Amino acid sequence: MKKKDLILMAIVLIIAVIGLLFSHIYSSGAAELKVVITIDGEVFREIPLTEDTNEEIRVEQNGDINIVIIDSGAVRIVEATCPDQICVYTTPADENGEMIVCLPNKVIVEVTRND
Amino acid sequence: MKNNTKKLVYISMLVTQAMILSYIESLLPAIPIQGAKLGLANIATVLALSTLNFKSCLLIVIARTLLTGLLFGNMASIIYSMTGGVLSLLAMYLIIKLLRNELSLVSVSIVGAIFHNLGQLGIAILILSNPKLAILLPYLFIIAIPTGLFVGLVSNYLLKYLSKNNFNYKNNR
Repeated sequence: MKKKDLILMAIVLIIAVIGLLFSHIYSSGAAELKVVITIDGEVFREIPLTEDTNEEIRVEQNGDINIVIIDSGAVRIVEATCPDQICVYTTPADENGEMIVCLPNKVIVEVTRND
Repeated sequence: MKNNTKKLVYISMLVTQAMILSYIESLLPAIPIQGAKLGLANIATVLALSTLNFKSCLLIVIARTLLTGLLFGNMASIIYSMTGGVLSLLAMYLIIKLLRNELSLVSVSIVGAIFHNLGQLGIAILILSNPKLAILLPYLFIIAIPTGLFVGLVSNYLLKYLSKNNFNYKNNR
């Protein structure tokens, strides 16, 4: 480890923080939220996201299945047929701009503003 | 002739090492951030870059992503890991070429991790046609620091051991 390694780490960290600030500005502001589920770039379903939304959605295409659950104001994937299960381990999404991605099944679950 | 055989064995061992490390990593609990992982297989790439010429390194990266994908993944995972792997190899190669005396392997592997993420996210944006995925980038940059640190330190340690045993095929091919 050299001194310049630390400088590089600092630069990376600064870039990340700037990026976070931008995404925060982009997503701030209270508004009605909705959950958009897309398969391979095409919208599969849109569901309004409120504290009382309580729904279980089965996203199925070509034998690939993702089970999406919306409850207490957040959305998560509880079951998937993909090999890596990354979408299942991802923390629930409840803010504008947050998303859960299942790359193998090409499924994106996204929280966006309702406008 | 004898040297060539030794080199071939060394290359194959690096490929195997990377595959086993990918497998071990898949057994570890996942980091709860999309696309984030430890990147243990990068140890093999960093080692290769420090001991072999660029052509052999490219061969190792392509072979390991193809074999790992065929064994444990699918067509999609091959595309993702190969784009990430090749892009990160290029970035690390340039860093070593240009700034070897200024930076240690820790920085090399951090840069590698970042470009691996850039490549994968880029291809994901293309395939899923959703540019909003870029929102994940800042998190992946932050994660690249501790994972790159770990991979860099391990590679450093391994390299010291290898150079004691004269494993260096950069100049005699």
